[in-house]
Amino acid sequence: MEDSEAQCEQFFIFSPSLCTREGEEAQKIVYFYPASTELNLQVKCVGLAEAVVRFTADFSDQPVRCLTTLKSRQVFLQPEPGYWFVMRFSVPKIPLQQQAAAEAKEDAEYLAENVQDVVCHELLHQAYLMYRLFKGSIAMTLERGNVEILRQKCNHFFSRYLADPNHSCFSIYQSTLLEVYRGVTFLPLSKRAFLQVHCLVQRVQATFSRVRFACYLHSDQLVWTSLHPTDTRCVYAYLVHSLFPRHAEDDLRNLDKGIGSSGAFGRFITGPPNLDDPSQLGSVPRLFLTGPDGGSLAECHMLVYRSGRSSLCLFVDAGDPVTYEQYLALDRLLQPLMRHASDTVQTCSQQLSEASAASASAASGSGGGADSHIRFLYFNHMNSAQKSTVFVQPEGSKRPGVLAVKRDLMRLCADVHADHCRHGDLVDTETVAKTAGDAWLVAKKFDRRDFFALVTQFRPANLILVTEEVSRLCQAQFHSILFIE
Amino acid sequence: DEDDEDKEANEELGTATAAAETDKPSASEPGSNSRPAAAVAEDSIAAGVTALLLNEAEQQQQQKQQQDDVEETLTAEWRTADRHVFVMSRSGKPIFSRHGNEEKLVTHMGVMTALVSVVEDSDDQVHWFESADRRFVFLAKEFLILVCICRSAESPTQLLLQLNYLYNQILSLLTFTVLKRAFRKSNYDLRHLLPDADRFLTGLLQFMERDIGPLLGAVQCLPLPKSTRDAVGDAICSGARVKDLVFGILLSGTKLVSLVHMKRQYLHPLDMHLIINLINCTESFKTSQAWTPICLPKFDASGNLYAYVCFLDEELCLVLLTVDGNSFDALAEAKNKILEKLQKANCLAQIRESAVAGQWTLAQTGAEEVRHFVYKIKLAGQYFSPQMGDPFGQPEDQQRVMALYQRMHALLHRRTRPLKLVYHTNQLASVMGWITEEFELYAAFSPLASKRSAIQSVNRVLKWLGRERDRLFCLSSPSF
Repeated sequence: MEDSEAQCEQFFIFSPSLCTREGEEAQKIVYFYPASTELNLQVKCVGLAEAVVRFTADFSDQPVRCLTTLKSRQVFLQPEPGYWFVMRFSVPKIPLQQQAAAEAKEDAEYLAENVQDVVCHELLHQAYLMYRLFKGSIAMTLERGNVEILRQKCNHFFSRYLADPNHSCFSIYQSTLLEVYRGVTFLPLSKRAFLQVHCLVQRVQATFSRVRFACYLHSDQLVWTSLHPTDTRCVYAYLVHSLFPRHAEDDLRNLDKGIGSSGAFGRFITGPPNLDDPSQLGSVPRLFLTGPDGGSLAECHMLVYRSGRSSLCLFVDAGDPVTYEQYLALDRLLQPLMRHASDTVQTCSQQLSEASAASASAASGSGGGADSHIRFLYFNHMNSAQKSTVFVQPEGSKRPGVLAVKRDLMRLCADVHADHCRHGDLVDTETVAKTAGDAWLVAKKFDRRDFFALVTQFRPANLILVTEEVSRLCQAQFHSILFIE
Repeated sequence: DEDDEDKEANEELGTATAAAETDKPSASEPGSNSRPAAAVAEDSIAAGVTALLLNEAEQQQQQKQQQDDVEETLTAEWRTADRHVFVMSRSGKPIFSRHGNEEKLVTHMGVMTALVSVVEDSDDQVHWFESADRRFVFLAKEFLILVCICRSAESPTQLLLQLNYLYNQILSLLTFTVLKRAFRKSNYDLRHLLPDADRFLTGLLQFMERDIGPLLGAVQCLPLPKSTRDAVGDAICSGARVKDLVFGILLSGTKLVSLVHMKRQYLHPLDMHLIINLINCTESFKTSQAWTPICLPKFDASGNLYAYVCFLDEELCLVLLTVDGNSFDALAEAKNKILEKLQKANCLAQIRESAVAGQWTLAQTGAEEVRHFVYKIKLAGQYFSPQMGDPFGQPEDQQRVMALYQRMHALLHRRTRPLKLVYHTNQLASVMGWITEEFELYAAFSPLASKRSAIQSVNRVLKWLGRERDRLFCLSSPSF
């Protein structure tokens, strides 16, 4: 039976320090979703959250992470001192038969295990990181302004963020362990092609000293980045899930209107839509990025330049706006360089993927192709690299695709992942599990890398045959990485 | 879940319920504060008051007392104890605390009660919350609230099971009928009725920490040759021909030697664990035969049975459970007959021999890679586990293995996605959990053992268990 969806019911930000007098508890609330919630209820929800926060602190040096009730799951995050982010999800339920309902004194069975802490917590953490990326840290806002400005910023950002289906806050049904990692797909390249991109970025930075960071993507895959790893993940998610898809629609519209066709080899996605028109400089996202010291945030404009399937993102000091002349100069520099780089990367990646497909099928016949009986998910915590075959991409579609394995198997991956995390199994760990439906999971953790293989329709299967089969897959797909056996 | 008893049993036990009725509690109420702390804290949470715990007037009034409390309870050592357990009434009156004097924890218990009722106000139930290193698990019953704050490998579901055991221990001391009557007055101090609660609850907690039985819902048996066990069963059956006798149990320490039951009556493992705990926690049983009322909640939560308890030697304890509150003399006589028969059949010596530690070791299984295992026969509700020896000689090693079993158990027993098998390897050990229709098996191996050799060893253990099945388990259960 397919269960109903878990929903994000509430999301709120509060700070106990904002209220000093009894009767003014509403002052603690910085942001509350849904905004239509009665103030009394808002105060009550915040009051409960605060009580749980305080009670936890009485017994633990670690802050509370989640609260489970029969019907809901709340996750807590204190991203900056004194400020708490709380997200509340409904627990999905299935109606009970009349007799069972009478015995349980409830009319439905609540499937608490289908709302997973690790997933919920990551959604909340991402919400904060995206907020910080676009609005800066809370401390920064308070330093420059006051709580009222903070409230406005939160309201401005989250009312849009929560409404955006790409962030899947409303339906954690769609969220899986992939959400937990929210990894970056790297494009494997030859050394020569990689160096060419590297030189391109160096040259741009040498010419325009205001460029603080840069990253280079090709076909939604990352090639090169100088951003902090956390920012890389956030910016990557923003580009791939929000900016690029939106721009793909613009591309079509512009083609219809005949705009931009003159500069077919390169153009700004953010910034001036048409370089022939100096009056329109377009809009440029302003982002708050982690400085080289890893601490303080630097405010930057993000210019995105597209040529072929390659995109170059330049993060420019936000002190002064980029002038029309500067855009023109950048365009002159980038057009030939980007066209060349894009071609090289395209050719190289095609060659590599053909070669790897050939070697994988030669090696074992279970190389993770579309019809393989082993699906895998790999994540490297050191560089956020992710590789996965758990989604099947419908032919010609750019969307993430549909899950190729049963949802419960993905949940099982998260169960095992949570078990490893909770018990401090950080290295050299392996868990093999056989489900009630006779599918197998092999989960490995090695040197800050996570690997999950889901084996279905593999007969005859037993513990030894399955682990051997998965080892073969690892050798074919990850021959450069040493896994424990 | 105290409702799942055999209906028939309830009818037959009408007498026991009636007996409990006469045992009226003295519901006197000692001078209490005008408002229970819980009500105050509840208001505070509802209003989101900054000073969460108490309103100002009461704060001043209780300030001095609280200073004393703070000294005792808020020491770092108390705060960060590995496992706190609290029991309180619905109005927040303390009943039990594992660490520290529950009297001085009024404020904490008030907050816990308030959390429960605030969530209930919105037609919901608080189950648990957690930080990176601790879990806070709540069990809210009709009259009592039980809370566990724990730093361990156990899952919330497993901790909830422990709280359920503690709740049933309280029922076992009182019966649900008496509990219900006591709380006609909502701020009744239940400790008046539970003078020994500390001893039994602490004893049960220690038992659950050491013994995997409660987690598995299974009892461990003393290994015995089948002929000896049959002879023990016969001795109890024929020796105890007393009307209204429901169960006759012979225990060696915490291990079951034999269980004889009235026709159509079944002894739930939880009830068995409560009987074991009763005996473990009562020193006076060791010196003389005793007669005590006991409620077995799974059997009938509303009324008492009566237990005749007598130690036949240092370890060996005979328990006869009846619904008749006046049959002490008859049962004492029955004991003599049983003892005589046991001696005649030379059972006592064999039981003593088997009880000697180290008698049942891994070496006998011939499975080299297996360092320890636990095997449960699901249908019988019984398990066998060899003595933990090297390399798990130290208590902390044993706890580590236990923690691994608990993790495997939690992964295997997820309600919505149960597993059949799980094999886990980390730096320190390899461990396996395996569930079939018939059995549940947990085994620990060296971390260096290959899967192939581990599986071969497990198969050897299973073969050995098959051969020794009749010795290791109590599979025939005679009835009176």
